[in-house]
Amino acid sequence: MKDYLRNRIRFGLILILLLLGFGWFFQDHRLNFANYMEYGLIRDSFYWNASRFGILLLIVVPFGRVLTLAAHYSSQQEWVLALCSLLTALGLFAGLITAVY
Amino acid sequence: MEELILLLASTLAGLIGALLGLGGGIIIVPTLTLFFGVDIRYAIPASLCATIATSLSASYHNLKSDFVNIRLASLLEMSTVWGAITGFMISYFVSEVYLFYTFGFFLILSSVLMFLKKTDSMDAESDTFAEKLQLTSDHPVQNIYLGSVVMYGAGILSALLGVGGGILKTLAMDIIMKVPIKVSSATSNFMIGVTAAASTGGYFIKGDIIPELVTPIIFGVTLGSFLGSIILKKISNILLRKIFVFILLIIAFQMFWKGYHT
Repeated sequence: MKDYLRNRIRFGLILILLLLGFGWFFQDHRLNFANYMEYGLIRDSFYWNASRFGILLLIVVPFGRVLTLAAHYSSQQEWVLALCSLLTALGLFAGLITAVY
Repeated sequence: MEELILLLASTLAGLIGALLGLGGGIIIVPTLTLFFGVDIRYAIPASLCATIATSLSASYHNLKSDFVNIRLASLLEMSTVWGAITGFMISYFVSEVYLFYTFGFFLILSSVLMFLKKTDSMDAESDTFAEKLQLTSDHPVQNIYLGSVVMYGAGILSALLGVGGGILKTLAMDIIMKVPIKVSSATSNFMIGVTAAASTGGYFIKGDIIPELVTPIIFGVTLGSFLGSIILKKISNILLRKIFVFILLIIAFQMFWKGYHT
């Protein structure tokens, strides 16, 4: 299980870094950080969306990890840990909804 | 030049985060707000992204060196996540000022306890419940119930005070559950990414995450936590404990500072 998790994390991390690096390459490096909100990458450009997708992946990978563990524990019939992982996943969605609204 | 400075600061944050099981917010948020004049509204989500990246990168390396107790993490994650949601819900009714001071004193007390503990008791007997769930491997796990309650409290506090739960997770595992310091910090690192992901999702939907700002931070913390995981394998437990006590005192100072200026 550890190796499976490691491989998934590595794959996710490489993809995230590639997408973010792609966007970073095309941004205007002469600007101050405080001004990026107005003048950084052109909003809705291909590069900006690639970066945003990288960040979305960054958020999704831990969710995926919790669900993977839940599936693993239920396949091993370890119901207490499977229930804990499922409740964690449920809590994450609840947290997401709470944070938005 | 700014990007290089941020990259270096993030590398340091990732290194300390991977060593001690923290998210690195204590370095990234002040760097962004005080040195670069970034609005706190964008600095906090950037710091949360750094927490997830530190967690992923450090977990990748720590899983290999067997420091992470995945089963214990699966059990405790539930308490912290639901604690954080409770914290969000009661945040409107609680005065932050007293919480900052209380938490500051709590951290000072914890740093004294950690300083006095010095060694890990590897031959201590594990909890019956921990044995039943096979949470133990080559180290003891005690006081599961109390540990879970404290983790729930840690979740509440992290939501109320805007501090990463990492410090509290490592403390609870080390002081209450008697888990060795290296396993505590690696397991805490494994868990913090999940807690941070929940709130980061909200910021992402609201559009408060600036890719241009977050990218150098993620590159920096990924590199830093890679280095931190290598150091974690080699560093002695006593030195790690001393570094942890030092960082606890810095965070305690930050809490008093925030309490004074709130």
